[in-house]
Amino acid sequence: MKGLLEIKDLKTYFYLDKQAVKAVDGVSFHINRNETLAIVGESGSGKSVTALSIMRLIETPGKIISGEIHFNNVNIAKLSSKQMTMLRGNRISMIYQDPMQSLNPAISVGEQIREALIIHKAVPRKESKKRALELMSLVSIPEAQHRYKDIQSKFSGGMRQRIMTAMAIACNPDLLIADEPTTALDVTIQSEIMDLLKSLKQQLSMSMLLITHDLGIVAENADRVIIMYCGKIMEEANVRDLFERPKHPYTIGLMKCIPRIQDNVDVLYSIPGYIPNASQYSEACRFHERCEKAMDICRQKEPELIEIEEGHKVRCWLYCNK
Amino acid sequence: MNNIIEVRNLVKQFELTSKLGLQTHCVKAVNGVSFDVPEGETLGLVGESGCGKTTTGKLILRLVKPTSGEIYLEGKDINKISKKEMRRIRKDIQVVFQNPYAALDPKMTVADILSEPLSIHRIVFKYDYDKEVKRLLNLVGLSEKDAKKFPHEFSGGQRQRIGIARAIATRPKFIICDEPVSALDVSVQSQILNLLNDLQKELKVSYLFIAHGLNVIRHMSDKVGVMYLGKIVEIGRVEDIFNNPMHPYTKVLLNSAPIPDPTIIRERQAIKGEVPSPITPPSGCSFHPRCNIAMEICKNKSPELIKINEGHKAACHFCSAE
Amino acid sequence: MYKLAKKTCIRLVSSIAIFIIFAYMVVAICSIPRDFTVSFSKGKLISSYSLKDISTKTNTNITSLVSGNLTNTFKGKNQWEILTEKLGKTLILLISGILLGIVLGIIKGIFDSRKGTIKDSHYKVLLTIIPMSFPDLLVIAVLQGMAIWLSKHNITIFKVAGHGTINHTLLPIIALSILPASYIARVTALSIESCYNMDYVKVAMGKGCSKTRILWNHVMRNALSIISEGLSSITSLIICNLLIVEFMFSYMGLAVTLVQFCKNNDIRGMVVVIIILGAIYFILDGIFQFTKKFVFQSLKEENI
Repeated sequence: MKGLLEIKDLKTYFYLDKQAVKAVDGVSFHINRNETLAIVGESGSGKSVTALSIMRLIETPGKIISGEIHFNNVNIAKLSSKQMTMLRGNRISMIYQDPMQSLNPAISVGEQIREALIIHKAVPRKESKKRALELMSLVSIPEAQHRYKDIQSKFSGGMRQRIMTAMAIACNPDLLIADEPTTALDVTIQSEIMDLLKSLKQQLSMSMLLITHDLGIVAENADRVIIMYCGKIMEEANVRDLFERPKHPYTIGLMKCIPRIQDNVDVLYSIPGYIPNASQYSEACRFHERCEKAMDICRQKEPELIEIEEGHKVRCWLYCNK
Repeated sequence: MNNIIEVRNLVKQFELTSKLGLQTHCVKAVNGVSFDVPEGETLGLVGESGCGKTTTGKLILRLVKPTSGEIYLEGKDINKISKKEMRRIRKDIQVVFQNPYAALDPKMTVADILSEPLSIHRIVFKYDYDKEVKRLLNLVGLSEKDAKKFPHEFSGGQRQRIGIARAIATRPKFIICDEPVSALDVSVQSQILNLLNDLQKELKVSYLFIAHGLNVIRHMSDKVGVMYLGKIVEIGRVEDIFNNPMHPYTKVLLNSAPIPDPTIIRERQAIKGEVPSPITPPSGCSFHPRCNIAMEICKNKSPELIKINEGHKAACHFCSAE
Repeated sequence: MYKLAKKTCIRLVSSIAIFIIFAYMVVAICSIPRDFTVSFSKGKLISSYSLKDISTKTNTNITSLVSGNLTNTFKGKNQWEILTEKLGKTLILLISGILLGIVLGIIKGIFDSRKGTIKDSHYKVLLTIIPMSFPDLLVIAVLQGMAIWLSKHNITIFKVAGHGTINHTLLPIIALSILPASYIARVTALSIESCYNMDYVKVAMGKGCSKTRILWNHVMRNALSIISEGLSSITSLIICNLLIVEFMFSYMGLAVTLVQFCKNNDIRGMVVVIIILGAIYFILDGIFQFTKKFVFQSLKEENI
């Protein structure tokens, strides 16, 4: 049992119209204490579904088919729903993507932060309001006293994301999952929120699972990185190795695609083709149709995830010694 | 060189009444915007949410009526013409929207979507519709087999291609691209940006490219305008803006994009506070509460656009002409 | 401030104008004599009474009404007392019916919306919609039959017909409330389901809220504002059913009095009752609009 969280062969499928959409198809990784692991992927890669599976928030028509999720030595995939409710928001917490829709418009923000404390009995009820105000100051919401009673429509996007963060860290969780926390925010606010998360992680000794599609955010905030494509892990490495020596053709392609402010090229590099349909995966490597270096074996059989260097794993026939 | 579009002192004011009807607020979404778009070139408009860039696009399309100001299309003021004439001019100004999932009518096949503008503006004869639809699909990188399908059978990138095909169907002189790649995956973004560039060279069409990411703007534009709270704070050729930014806000924007390289540590320029609400804009220069070089004069006097050099202007009290 | 005052004044004036027009039309229609016929002769339409006759009659009726002479049937000082007493009885029925309808409807709606399998939800919806298609006579007959059967077993809480004690009001209230209950149940179920799809429910689950807590603290607060918009529709439903319910249960309220006046050809009495019922409708509707606007106001977002 390595570290804080270990996932073994997780499979989550969605059953729509009698077809199985294999959103997460055999994913294994671990997160150590006080570490930030970033999962990078595009739409259809299964990164959000992985996070929801860890939180056990998958509802019909989705289902966790198989796999183990070990958190603090307990297999939470097997816990009853009541036991899982005690864990959520308490030891594992999540920050969601769209702060504009994620707060209840009928309840004041202070009460929503306080709710997390009351449910898990983290502090006695009489002190919960005081603690909620402390949390609001911790995430740098100015004039917390006055703003405690305001409803969410009186806050801007960045402020709402801070409120969500306060709700998530209320009970000092061991693991914080951040699902694209800055995608819906303005550019100047994005770095503030990421800085806030970084400092909170250090102050509260949390591990963070950061889900994003932005390699820039990964470079500045992550310790280790996982690249997901079509429900499988394509590459796993620590952040330096990934950017200096990317191995998988998908990773290399992603890095070349990003238009950078410093560059002034005429034609941007692009990965040809489109992401395949998630209900029609074949036996072949899932990336072979778009891969520049596809070989015959890539079209026939899917490679395994192999560790080629210390801490650096790839799923590609280019690196398999036959 | 001729200018396709010239905008002079465009102002758009919205009136909001509070719930009980007690107060009316005036929101100046666009507050005196002027720019030119030369033939065959792209003007990029960049800014954060609430700066008025989308409203500017809608004003040029005359989807919204301006409170004051002039818009000249090839020398003719399109604010003063009749509705009938405006309908004829609409074939010269087209738009590509941000959300490819919402911009296409789900009940119409691709062939219907593309033949509609052909029939409204009588671009070709009726029996040539199929041929023209095939030509348009090939131009944007789709095949003629796709003509009979419905939008939901396509991915986001493909739907955006259909949206672009619809825009070029009327052989316009000017296309407004309202954040066309924000909702797309990274690997598809570069495909669409390359497509837009190719179409510009082939069809000699001008773009107004609205975005909130500076990296995308750099790749697409010849001229760039930076907007903040309804005003243009800096405008110039793309090399001037990116190599020699004058306005403090432009510098902050350039600085705030995360760099995908873990070895480079960004010198972060801390920017105070959040974007103020357009209902109560700050006095004087609207950027002064967040500016790190703000002085007394900035609170009292709103700066005019000062010419830095040929084609490069900035609205700040502390930038001087070279 | 000025704009608000102007708006309210216009609203008030227009409502009063509508009420006056409504009252005049009611008197006019009631003043049309029983033997009014329209016949077709020599290619023209001829009516037995000309428009002028009818309007003179209307005006006479209005003058005598305004002078205080409300009905023929109960003459003298008693007319006010009797009418007020009957009004009181009807109001008991109406208000209790509305409240019971809302409460039952919301409970049924919550029950309907629990996510089960698709088959379950079909049955639940059917159970809610079927009462809407029953004719009131059938519902009342069933209820009365049930009361008779219960009394045979010596349970005499429900009185089959008549008026006078609280027990007499129970069955009529239940009969009145069934139709609005099923309507509100439908609205509640749909609004709860739409609220469950919102992101904040997912966030609340992620915080570790139990399902009960999510339902009552998060979803219901937002669903109520949607439900309050459906309330004004049930007012008209209930007032229409009032006549049948009171008549079938021989409950001596306003509606039965209306039938009596009709039999006795007491025009002025009919007009008075109709106008009172109309006023009740307007007042109830106003209360619901007020609730919708001011109580649930805070839940509407300000969008710029």
